[in-house]
Amino acid sequence: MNALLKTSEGIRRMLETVARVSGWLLVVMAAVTCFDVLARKAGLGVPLTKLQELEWHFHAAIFSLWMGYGYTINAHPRVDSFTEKLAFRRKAWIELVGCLLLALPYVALVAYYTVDFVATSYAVGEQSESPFGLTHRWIIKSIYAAGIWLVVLGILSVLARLIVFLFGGRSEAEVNLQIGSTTLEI
Amino acid sequence: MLDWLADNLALIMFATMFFAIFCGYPVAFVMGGMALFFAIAGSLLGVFSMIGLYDVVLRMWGGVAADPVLASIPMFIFMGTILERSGSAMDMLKATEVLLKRVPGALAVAVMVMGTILAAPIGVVGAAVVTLSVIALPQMLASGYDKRLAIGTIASAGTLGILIPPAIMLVVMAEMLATSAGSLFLAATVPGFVLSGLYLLYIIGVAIVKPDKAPKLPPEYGPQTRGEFWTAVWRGLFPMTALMVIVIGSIFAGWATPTESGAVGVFGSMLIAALNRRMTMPMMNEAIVSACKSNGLVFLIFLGATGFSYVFRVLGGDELMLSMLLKFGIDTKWEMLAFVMVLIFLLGFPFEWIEICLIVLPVFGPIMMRYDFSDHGVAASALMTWFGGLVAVNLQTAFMTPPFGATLFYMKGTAPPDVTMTDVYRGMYPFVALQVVGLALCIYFPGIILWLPRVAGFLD
Repeated sequence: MNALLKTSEGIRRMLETVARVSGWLLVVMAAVTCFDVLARKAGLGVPLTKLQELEWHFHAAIFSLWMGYGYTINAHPRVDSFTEKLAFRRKAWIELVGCLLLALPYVALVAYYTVDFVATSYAVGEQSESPFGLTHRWIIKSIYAAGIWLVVLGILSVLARLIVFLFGGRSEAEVNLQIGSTTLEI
Repeated sequence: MLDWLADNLALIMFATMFFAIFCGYPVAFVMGGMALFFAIAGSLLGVFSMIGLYDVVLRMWGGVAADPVLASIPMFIFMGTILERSGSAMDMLKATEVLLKRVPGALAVAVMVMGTILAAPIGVVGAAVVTLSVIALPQMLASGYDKRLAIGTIASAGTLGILIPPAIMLVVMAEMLATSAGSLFLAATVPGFVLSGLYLLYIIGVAIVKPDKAPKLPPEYGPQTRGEFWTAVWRGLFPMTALMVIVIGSIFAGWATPTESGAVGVFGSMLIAALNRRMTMPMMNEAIVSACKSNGLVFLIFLGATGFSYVFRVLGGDELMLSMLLKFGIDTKWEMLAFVMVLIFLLGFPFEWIEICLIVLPVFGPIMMRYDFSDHGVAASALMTWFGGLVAVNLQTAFMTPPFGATLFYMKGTAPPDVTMTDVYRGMYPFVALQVVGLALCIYFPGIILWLPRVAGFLD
């Protein structure tokens, strides 16, 4: 059980590091986009198509790398009008069933398909549809694919904590399981 | 039996999802899990091929990750979190109060004006309601305001954010209805101001008829000399108003895409923070984490909903839904519009806007497209813009309707302990009634929604 808990915490830390670092891409994205706008208005001879494609490349990376971490910190919205008053143990059981039957099978299948998706892109040397666009499309596609794999890891991390809590006889505080009511911050 | 099951699988899927979602598990995963479950059921019954789910990877890539318009969502959220965390939003509220000191119900009017302007940059309901509530509620209660009037004002002012551009909800809706984000921004602007106007009339009316519910500010409140007065107004109000004009104006004028104007907004809000000497590392870190968290959850829901709506469509869900409604006698265009509006309103009790946008709009958008509203002054090319505008107003109402409106929980969460949930509910009723009036006006006079997009040349 100890090893399981440690693994779970390890995964969460890894997801956190990836998320924290990739968060600064927001600033980079804003800077690149502003530069694009200014360069276009000033009529500078910069590769505008490349810059514009770069904008959504950042967008893809930012959300991909935060989805999995979000689950480990219970950021994803739930409809809990009927379940919020349940005992914590009950909620943990629901979460366990949800992880095993809903989240894991779906996300793992999608993640499995992304491997082929990236491999095809790499094999054909995919480029932008525009002749002036970015090359090496497989790079951003693998970040996107990695993001979906990180969701799988996030689910596994929560699952490990759930098992330790439900079957290992540890207390709520010790397991640091973050489930139950969230407030949507958007 | 098996044939019946195979034929009606999509409807069973839709119904099961609405029950499953109440189990309190993250909505994104419930939708994804349902997609897989019914994909397997469909393939066992011979009406679905499992490899079709590969499509989810492609759609999530092509329609979401590589989408230059959805790329504006992280920018708008980031701009809002910077303004909120750096305290610029609070400066603005104080300045508005000072400016409106002599108006009846000054504090409430200031909150409403502020909600209308701040809504735009914050653009995300939770943040706006929490900010307004934390800053303004204690002050309103201390100056003798009626609890319920104060709560109703703050909740409805904060909720305007999902309607007034650049609201991220409109970006998502535009994507789902296959119309331009710019035209939806324009479409929602006038209804947003109409609602804000209705609220203001109500507040000022109450303040005049029952002054004890909304007492005047004492003359010694705020700066006393003319110089101090203008400094406060200038520092608090001017930078934010300028920022909003630049961000929204550049989209409307067609100078910049939503993503570009969002990026300019991010730098503008950083500049305002720097001018106020609040541009610090901890502030930026907080703003980034909070923005990325909100952004990540929006797109995880996309991941689940993409699978759900794909499987639903392949199982023939659109046709089934339409034929079932016809069977129930909903066949004229007005019955259909009324049905969709009531459905969205009811769904708004338990669900957030994002789930409704991602599940209901892809199903009912195409159904609405079959009808001809040209005798009502809505040409076929303008239909999706009008429909989108109506859904936006409707969803905003749903947000503040007891007992489950999301706004109400934010209110309760930030209000002082002696404010009960009953106070929150009672406070909302007059504002919900005004909201329904606003929605009815938008349905009866399509011009409220369509005038601005027409003037700007988005529609003919």
